[in-house]
Amino acid sequence: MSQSFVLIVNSDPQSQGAQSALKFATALLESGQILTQVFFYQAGIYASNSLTSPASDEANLLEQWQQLHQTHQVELITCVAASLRRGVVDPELAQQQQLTGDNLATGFRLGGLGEFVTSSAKADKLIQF
Amino acid sequence: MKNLAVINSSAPYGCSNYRESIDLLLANASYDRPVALFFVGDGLYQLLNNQAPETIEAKDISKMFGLLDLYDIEDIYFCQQSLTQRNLDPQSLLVEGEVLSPQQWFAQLARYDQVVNF
Repeated sequence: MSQSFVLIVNSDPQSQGAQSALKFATALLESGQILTQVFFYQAGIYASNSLTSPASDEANLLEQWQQLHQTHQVELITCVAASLRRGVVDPELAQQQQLTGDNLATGFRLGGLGEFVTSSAKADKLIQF
Repeated sequence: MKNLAVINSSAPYGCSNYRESIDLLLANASYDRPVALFFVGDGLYQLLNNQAPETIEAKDISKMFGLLDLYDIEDIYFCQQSLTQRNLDPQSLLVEGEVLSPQQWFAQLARYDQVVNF
């Protein structure tokens, strides 16, 4: 029987934790489990920064998340409070905060901790990376 | 609604864990989700009295933990072993909590559907 999962990604994209989160998410979906939401928190939010260009011999984490989102319509939520501190914003927030640009990658959506609460409170499993 | 345990295991100030942990905890409590707060290892240092965070431009932890009461967060637990290792007296900490032996710690933690660690 399939179970519903929420992932919370706190790890910086430069750490193995962030890569493990992606691997785990992929494995969940391939094995027919339900992945309700991936919530990016703390340094994990850097995964949704569109202004990254990893070296050609390194994994492109952002592209891989976007691919997963496109294939499986997984909800990718970037915590807005964590992002404001770290400099990842969508056009609306950039305008509101009078910032010079926006950089939230396609496929990701800014959301509050409340969205994490409501989805994780219903999920069978919460996994932290 | 699944209940949630938040574990604080890192010392304050060196990284943002202490702030972002309590943000997450309070957000969950504000939705009336049953939550508990566990302190283990260097996480117990968050609860020392007489901190002077303003000298390093850090947030005042005692104010943050003062909110626990307001949000009706009463299930607070300390790891006895970690207290002993650090020579800390649970009576002298910023908040009141129940001291648990390693065995009781895992039994208590097992009562929670979900766990996050900061």
